[in-house]
Amino acid sequence: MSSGLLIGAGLGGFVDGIVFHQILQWHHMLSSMFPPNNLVNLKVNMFWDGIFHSAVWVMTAAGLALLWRAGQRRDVPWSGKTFLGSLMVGWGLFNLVEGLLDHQFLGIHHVVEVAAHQAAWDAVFLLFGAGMLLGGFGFIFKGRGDKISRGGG
Amino acid sequence: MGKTLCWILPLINLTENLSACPLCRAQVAAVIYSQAFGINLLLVLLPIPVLAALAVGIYRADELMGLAGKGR
Repeated sequence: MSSGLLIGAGLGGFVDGIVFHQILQWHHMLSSMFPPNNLVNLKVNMFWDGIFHSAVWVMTAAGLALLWRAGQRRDVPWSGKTFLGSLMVGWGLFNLVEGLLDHQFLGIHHVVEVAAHQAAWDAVFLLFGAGMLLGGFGFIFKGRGDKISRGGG
Repeated sequence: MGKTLCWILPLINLTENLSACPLCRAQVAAVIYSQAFGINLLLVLLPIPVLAALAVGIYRADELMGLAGKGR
């Protein structure tokens, strides 16, 4: 579960970074502090985006290491439902933690910086996270009965 | 602290020279490596340890409650 949580949070972080920061360019890590309305501010934001995504990469790598270790243990059931649920919980936690910390409390950026209804977009981001969290726990509970050990034996 | 500075300062110098286009490199570096560098670093990285702590906490709670089916 812990590996799934970390990998799931990493997946959430990369989807946020790739889709919202790079493809849609709706926000950057510090876009409320350095509005990307000129080249210098855009490059400053790109630097801090890189720092954040480096940390997300490390978190994902840690999750992979934990997954490898779990795979070597015979007492850990190799449950697809549990792993999928953990990934979803991790992604949901990313949205909730990053959404509450960065968007609401610290205000260093919002989901859509230039939107007329910034709060609505922030709320959707949080709701998606909550949905992933609940769905993930649903899968985890469903996987409780799985007793498949690694290799299917 | 001294050992940390020994490698972090050359790294900052390296990234200053490699990063950004020549036209605005100095301006970009001035904004990034300002007095607010530390606080900005903290703000940017804050979600990561929170997430890691939550992952560990949920795992420990799961172990205690026996939901993961360990040993079954």
